[in-house]
Amino acid sequence: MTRPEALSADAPDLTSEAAAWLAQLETGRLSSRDLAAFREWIQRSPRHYAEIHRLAELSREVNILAGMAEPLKAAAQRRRAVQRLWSIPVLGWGSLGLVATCALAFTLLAGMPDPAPAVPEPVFLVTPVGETREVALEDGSTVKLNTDSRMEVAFIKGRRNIYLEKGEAFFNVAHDAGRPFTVYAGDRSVTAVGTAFSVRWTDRELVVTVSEGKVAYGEAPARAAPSQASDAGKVMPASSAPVSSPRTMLGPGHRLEVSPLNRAELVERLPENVLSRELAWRSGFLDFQDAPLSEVVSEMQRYTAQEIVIADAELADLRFGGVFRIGQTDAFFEALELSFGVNVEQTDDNKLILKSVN
Amino acid sequence: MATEAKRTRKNAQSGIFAVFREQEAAIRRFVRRISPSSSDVDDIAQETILRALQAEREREISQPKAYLYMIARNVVRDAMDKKSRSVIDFIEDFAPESVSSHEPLIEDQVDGRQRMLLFWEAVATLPEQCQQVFVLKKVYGYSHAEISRKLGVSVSTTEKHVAAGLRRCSDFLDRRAAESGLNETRRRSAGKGE
Repeated sequence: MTRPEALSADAPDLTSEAAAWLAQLETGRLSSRDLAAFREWIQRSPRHYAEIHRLAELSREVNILAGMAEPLKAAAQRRRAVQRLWSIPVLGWGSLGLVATCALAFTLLAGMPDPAPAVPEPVFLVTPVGETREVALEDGSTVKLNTDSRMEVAFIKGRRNIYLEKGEAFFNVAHDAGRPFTVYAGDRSVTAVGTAFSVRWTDRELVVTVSEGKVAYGEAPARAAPSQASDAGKVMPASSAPVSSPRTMLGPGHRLEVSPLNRAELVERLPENVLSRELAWRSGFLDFQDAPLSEVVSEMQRYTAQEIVIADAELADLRFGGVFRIGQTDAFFEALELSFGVNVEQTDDNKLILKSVN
Repeated sequence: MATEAKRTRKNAQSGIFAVFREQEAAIRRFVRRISPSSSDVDDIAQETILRALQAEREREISQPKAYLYMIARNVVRDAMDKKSRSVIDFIEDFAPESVSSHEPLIEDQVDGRQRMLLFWEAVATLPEQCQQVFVLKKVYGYSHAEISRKLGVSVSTTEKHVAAGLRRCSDFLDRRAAESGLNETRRRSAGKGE
């Protein structure tokens, strides 16, 4: 660890003292008396030196935040948002029992009725535009739904089925080899036994990203009885039908994309940093790096009900980077105006028009 | 306007320079907002165009305007980094003999992007005014005097907030490192312990 336990007990204020000295050094205003006092302080012990050195390195590292250009206005809101988020153990995927209470309106399966060859009462999980939600499932798995998503959870004996009707979700699957966990999206399926992966099904485009373990991917047979009239036309497998024969195995860091046009499949291996960026939404962030504005906007569009229009063709290719909190699209538009020379105009019919300033 | 832009593009030699001239006032406004102090604006503007001209010699720049802003931002960040580096150098002059002053560079070991997200979470946990000051200082690179003017607090208060902010960030990172077993923070501080 950074500091030995004994140290914090002996000198609880060493870090504060070091931080105070560092702040003063960083201002560059140091009288000869200050300097003498600082010399005396830092030479008291190697720990004094080590502590301020550590903080100075940290302070330098924090400079990378300068890349974020986060508007100040959003800071207070964000703080509140984070505190709200903190009440949910977003980070401890292992201990999510509490989270079930957050599922509020949704009755989760309390247990399987014993003689239940038929489909049990299905559970629907929904998120509105701009919100995410984390839910603990009865088998110990957890699912985190991204913005504007809808899924049906249908767990039956020997099989855990999820029908992702739209949107995106990250699954952390509890290991149970005897009960495969299958996510159906459109005419495809992804099956896991114990792993973590996300499935995105938006505008007939399917994206599967695996962060841990392995999943099997393949075509899904038609579903016999769609449980929702509104889903007519969607091809879904029957709950009781055998799982389709999966064709592709995807491992950690793999991303599969199925084109909405010709159903062509592309599998690539993501570097660690890209993977964490892709899955940043799980912690409530959207993370862009050197992405064309057109792409950023289409991503942002998923999180807001307002239609975003890029009016100038030259803007579409503008490279954009930044990190934003989900649900705070205002911060994004502010950053565009403040730091990227883009004019954001709100029309009477509630559209947002992006134009070049000149 | 359109014909002028075309003419600019035709003149390949000074394309970016023409855009710079056109944009100079706007870029200076932008730099003033993000630079450590107003006296640096000239330096940063100059460094920006120098880097842009250099880059133009090496490759074609398809979006000179956006490119200039990007460079300006990088120049500001580099200036902040240089300042931090000089503080570290100053501290290292006091290194006790038993301590070796040069450690492996953190940047080489850790994915900067992920680390940035972590800092961002840390910053988000700061109390309101402390956070305001910290963000102005570390995200926007404002000087203490400017922060003091902007927020109507004394310079020594801004110093205290920056110190407290850094302290809390450090605590946050320690906690996070303890939570996740194979965290980079732990790895990088392992070299610094006893």
